[in-house]
Amino acid sequence: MGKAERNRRTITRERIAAQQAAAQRAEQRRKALVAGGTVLAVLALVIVIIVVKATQAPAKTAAPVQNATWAQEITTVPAATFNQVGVGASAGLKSVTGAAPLTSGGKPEVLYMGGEYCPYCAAERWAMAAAVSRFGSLSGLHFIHSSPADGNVPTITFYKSSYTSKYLSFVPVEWYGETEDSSTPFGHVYLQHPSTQQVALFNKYAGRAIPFLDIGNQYVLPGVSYLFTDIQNLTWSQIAAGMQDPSSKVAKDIDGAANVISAAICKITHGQPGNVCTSAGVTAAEGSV
Amino acid sequence: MADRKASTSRRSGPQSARSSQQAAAPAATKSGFGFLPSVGILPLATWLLSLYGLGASIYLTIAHYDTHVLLVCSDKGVINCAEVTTSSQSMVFGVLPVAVLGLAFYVFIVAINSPWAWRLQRPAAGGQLSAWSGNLTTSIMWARLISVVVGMGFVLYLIYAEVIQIGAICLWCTSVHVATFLIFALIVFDSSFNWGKPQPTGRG
Repeated sequence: MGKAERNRRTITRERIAAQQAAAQRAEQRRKALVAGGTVLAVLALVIVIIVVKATQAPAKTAAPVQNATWAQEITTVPAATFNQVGVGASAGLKSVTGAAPLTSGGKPEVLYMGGEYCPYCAAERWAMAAAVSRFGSLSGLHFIHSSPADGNVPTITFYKSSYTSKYLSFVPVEWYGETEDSSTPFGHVYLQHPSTQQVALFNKYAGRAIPFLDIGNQYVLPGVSYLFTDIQNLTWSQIAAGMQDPSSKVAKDIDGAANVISAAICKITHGQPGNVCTSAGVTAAEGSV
Repeated sequence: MADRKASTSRRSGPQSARSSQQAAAPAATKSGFGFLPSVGILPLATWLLSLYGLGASIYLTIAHYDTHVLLVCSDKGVINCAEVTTSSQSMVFGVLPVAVLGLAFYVFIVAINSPWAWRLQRPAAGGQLSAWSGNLTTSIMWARLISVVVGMGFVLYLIYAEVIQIGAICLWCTSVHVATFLIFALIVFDSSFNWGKPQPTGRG
């Protein structure tokens, strides 16, 4: 083999090696682009979400609705319906020991603290309204939804409602409204301001969450009795009607919870009124209290 | 895939370069962590991030079920863990807590990103892969990639839920999201550069 031939072969080998190295570098660049592009795409999606939020107009709150028929239905659930439902699907009341009884106006007090934006409060209010209506007269109810950004659960509000009873005082505090306000602890505007005593009870028993129900300082409900998702897609009318039908899921949730709350109230009213406290529904729920 | 492996293994240049990289990796991780198999910095980083994600997920799950356990977190303004963890979006289909889902995800991720799982994929210099362990390696790589892609997708949904639907940010959740993103980025880069490459089969 001549010198010229050797040189030509060497040059050819070097050219092939250079081409292979270039191909290798191109392959590395392609892989880096694929991986980097994938990661950047994910970051871009996050940025899009943040930009959408930044340019989004605040959600509008629908005006409260008054409806005498629905209000009548939820405050006058027949005793037979309560009795058929019994405990239903309700859970969650806790007894309190060693605390001074909570009273106002010389009567045992039932304290509720919640917020109009809150979906859990939205669920619990139906049962509370049904329960306290067995011991007195609840009026001035307005129909609302929880915050559109928080479940949009159909409910009632106790804001601007009134309650009279010879057995107990029902003190609802709709602490927060629906409009967002990042300067408050729960991120929504204040609607009603609780008293120092009420805040102390909330701090002591509620686990820093709403809704909070304190039944004469003898029983507390730091949470909810049933899932709000059960009623999330129903209308006010459907829920009010469902409360009349003991076989419905709505009645098992709401009327069942109302029976448990009623049983706890009966403890602090010392069994008054008798027709409520000795009813089959309340008696069945006593075991859950 | 098998064809690609075979054809790649015939190329001596890249393989020898990779073998030298993998031979160097053990020295970087063995010091101080003698009980762990030597796998390299990237796998070790994915495992440490996975362990962090698992710890945070356990904390969030406990806080979800025990109302006496409060998250160490601001509860005012945009940074509000309680608002996020008690929102309707904190439950999947209204029954399965997101915290539990995150915990299950990280139990799996910790296992599949463990040095022992990576070791199956990257045996030490001089180690050999049988046909069986080769199939297992491919399965692990697929499982790892699919799981982080699914996890990242769910994280994007959770970020959407926090930012758009709830309007509040949970710092603990966000720290888990960041960990998931970092694991995702590392796995994507690793898969991109090492997918289908033959494992070292020679000695030394």
